[in-house]
Amino acid sequence: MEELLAMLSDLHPEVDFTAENDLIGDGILDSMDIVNLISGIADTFDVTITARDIIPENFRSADSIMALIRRLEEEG
Amino acid sequence: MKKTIIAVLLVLLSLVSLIALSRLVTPKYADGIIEGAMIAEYYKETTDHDVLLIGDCEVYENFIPADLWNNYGINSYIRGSAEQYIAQSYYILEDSLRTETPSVVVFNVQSLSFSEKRSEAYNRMTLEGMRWSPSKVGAILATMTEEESFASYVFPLLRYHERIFDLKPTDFTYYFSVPPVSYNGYYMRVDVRPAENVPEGKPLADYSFPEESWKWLDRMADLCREKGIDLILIKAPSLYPYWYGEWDAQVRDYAEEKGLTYINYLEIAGQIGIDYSTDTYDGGLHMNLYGAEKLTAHLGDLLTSEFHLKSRRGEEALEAVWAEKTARFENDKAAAVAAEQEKANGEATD
Amino acid sequence: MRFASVAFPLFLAALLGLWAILPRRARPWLLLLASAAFYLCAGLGGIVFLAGVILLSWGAGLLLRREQEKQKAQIEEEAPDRARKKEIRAVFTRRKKRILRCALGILLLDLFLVKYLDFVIRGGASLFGADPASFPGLGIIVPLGISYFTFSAIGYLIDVFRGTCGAEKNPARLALFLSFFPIISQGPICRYGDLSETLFEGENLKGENLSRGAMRIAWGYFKKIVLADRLAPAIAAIFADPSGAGGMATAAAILMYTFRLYFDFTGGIDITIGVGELFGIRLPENFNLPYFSGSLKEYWRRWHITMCSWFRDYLFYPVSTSGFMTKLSGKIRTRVGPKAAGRVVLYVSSFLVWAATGIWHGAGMNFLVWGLCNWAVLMISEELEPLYKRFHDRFGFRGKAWRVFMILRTFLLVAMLNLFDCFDGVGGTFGAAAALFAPWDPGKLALTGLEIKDILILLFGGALVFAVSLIRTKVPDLRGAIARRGTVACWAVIFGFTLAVLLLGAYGIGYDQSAFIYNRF
Repeated sequence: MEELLAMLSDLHPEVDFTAENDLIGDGILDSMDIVNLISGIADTFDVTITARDIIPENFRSADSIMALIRRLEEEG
Repeated sequence: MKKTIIAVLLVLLSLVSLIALSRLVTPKYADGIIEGAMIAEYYKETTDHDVLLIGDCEVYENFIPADLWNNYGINSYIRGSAEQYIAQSYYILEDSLRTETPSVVVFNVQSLSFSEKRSEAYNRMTLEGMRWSPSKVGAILATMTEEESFASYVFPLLRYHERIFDLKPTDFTYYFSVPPVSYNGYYMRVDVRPAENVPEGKPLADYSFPEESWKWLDRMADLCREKGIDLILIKAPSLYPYWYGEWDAQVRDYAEEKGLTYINYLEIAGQIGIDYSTDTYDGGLHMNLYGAEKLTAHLGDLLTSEFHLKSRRGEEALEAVWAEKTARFENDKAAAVAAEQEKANGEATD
Repeated sequence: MRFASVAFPLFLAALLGLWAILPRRARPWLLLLASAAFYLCAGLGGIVFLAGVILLSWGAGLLLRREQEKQKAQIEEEAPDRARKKEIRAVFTRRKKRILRCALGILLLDLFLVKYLDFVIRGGASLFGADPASFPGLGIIVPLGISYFTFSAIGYLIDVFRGTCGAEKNPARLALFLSFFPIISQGPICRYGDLSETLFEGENLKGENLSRGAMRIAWGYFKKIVLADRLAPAIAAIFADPSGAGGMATAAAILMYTFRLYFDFTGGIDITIGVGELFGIRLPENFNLPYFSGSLKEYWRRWHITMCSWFRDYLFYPVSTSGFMTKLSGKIRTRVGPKAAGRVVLYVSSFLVWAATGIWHGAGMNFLVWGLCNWAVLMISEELEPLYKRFHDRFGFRGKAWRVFMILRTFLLVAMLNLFDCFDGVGGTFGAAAALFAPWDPGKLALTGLEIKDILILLFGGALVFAVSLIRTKVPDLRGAIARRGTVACWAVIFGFTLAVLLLGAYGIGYDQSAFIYNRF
């Protein structure tokens, strides 16, 4: 979780990602951020997020991104 | 329930205001281009006519119904409009015959010569005046130009909306009704401009009239035969547009085949006393009052002798109507002649 | 049948009448029939094409569904361990991918043949030195709305593949989704999962839906017929010869074109969404006050939203997360570093997206260049982001005035980029851009042919649109607020705008009922 938060604040240092829970709706993460994030996640967690997983529900908050990573690890 | 009533009322209010606005922006043709008001004026008539004259300016500037009444006791009306296409003539005839059956219909054949749709403005002036009926629908569909739409005849607002920026006082004065602009369809001009050097017509590649034109003339002839009406074809003595001998021959053959009377006034102009230096107001295109008087006299004689129309002088109701009409006509004629005289005197002393 | 025709409101009124008397279950059929009639007005060839696309997406959807069911059945039957489960999934994913690729291949090939083949052949001819103008073209008539229904079909199939929406068994329902008459000619591009929630409901006519829908329709017509169509001939007059018109008139025409595009496209979409509302059908929003954007990036989140999100979800993400990209970024990461890896993925994927977006707008070099210019500006501003930040921290440019400056800057940028779709060739665009440096002669503004009355209508109408937009930043549901005031308030809005359209609209003799600009795309 720490690694993910570090990655996120690297993208947007001004945002407190532990508190935000509508990252997409509030326009904090855009598609470019998401691509960066995915390649970071692939690197750190060794999971592949494919286009089908990129739906707003999975990227709403740091928690939901973490849940997605866990699920993919599970299915791995 | 209350809400529904309010909604219905609001819809009605919207419709009424749209119709009211539509009327406001539609041209009234009460002054200036009065030709646009002539087709509608017919519906104010209260009497049955013995003779209907149908066609374009070669009819409505050439015959005087008031003279036909006063000199021959014939009750006539001219359903003429500017640049009336032959299809429109047919539908105007059809429209008139829904409410009356005259003894004779006179049609001027000039419009046989073309079948293409020429002008939106003239279409408007002819078609808008017609009362809604299958004939009007037919006339619109048969003659509207590419750029026009049927809808714009149903909702004139669609056509005239831009006029909201240049409304004239007359749009308000004549909002509810337009005063009479013609004398039973006759458009009076008393000024004179002699015909000089009218050029010969240029040779044409093909002198035969379009199929389309013949079709409408056939329909007119058929309609008259069905109703037992005598159809007279005429060609007004206008020097221009040029009337070709080849054209004349075709009409002559047609009339013979159908057993109709055809009179080419160009041919007999001299015989009935038309003087092109005094009897036209625009150099030979149209007759003025003096030319029209001579043509009317010829037509009156013809109707009485050949077609045996009896004088209806003495019919009380008709006399009453015509007394009023004649008074207005004579009055306006005298005023117009006087004004013309004054203008001529003014020019002479300058 | 165009929205801006007398026939369309009559068509709608007849539909509403039939809708009211038909039983609920029959109403979607009525919409399908109406859509077919609407589409037939645009020609017989198109509807055959559309039917082909419908059948193809229906069949491919069912095939995908069958594979999914088989996969599920096999997993249930075997009750496998994790490794085996993964194996089974991989097998079926491969099969499904094959089906999807086939279907998308056919759809894209169709689109290519109909819309782009002429362009490619002409381009090829000029490469070999032939005069492209001498090539007569294949004379294929592009079916109305082909890009829209093809893209909707592709989106549907990908969604079924991904499992985000179920495959539709009933071909009639899919046919209605792809041919629904308000959206067929200019979008918005809908997602099956979203639209199917309301499209087949056949909801009873409701006063609230009717008044909201009618308000939106009237507003759309106002923007389209009063403002956009009045601007059109003025713009055309200047763009016919920009160098002759000089700097000032060309600048005015460029600005007018940008406004016209907004009035025309948002007006059309307002009518579309409003028509949906009449029948209780919820269509996706396509705009969010785009000209109030502070940057090009923001603009593309607020303009033609459904198209942008389509490209994002069905092209950008798949490409940027594809195996090839992952491998590439892995290599760069180990050799150069993680920042560079992210950048390369971003540049390459978004390059593809913008090239495709450009081509989507039209078969022409100018559209391609337009897309790539957008791409270049976006990438450059992405690179300069840290610089901006430092600049801001240093000088503290914040607040309203700064925001207004950003908005104006973005507007001008968009206006210049749009210049690429005003002309048939790239040359024309550069010609117009060069004309900006010609002498600025105010007298040449007369070339627009605008009279005082036109200018007044445009100014007042434009101010009204601006005011409404400002209010909507505070009151997003403006129509709801009006509706709460009661029936009379709604009527005043609807009738007021109807009257404005009828009286002040630029239509009828003397004006061509210009097609919505986006019909072409």
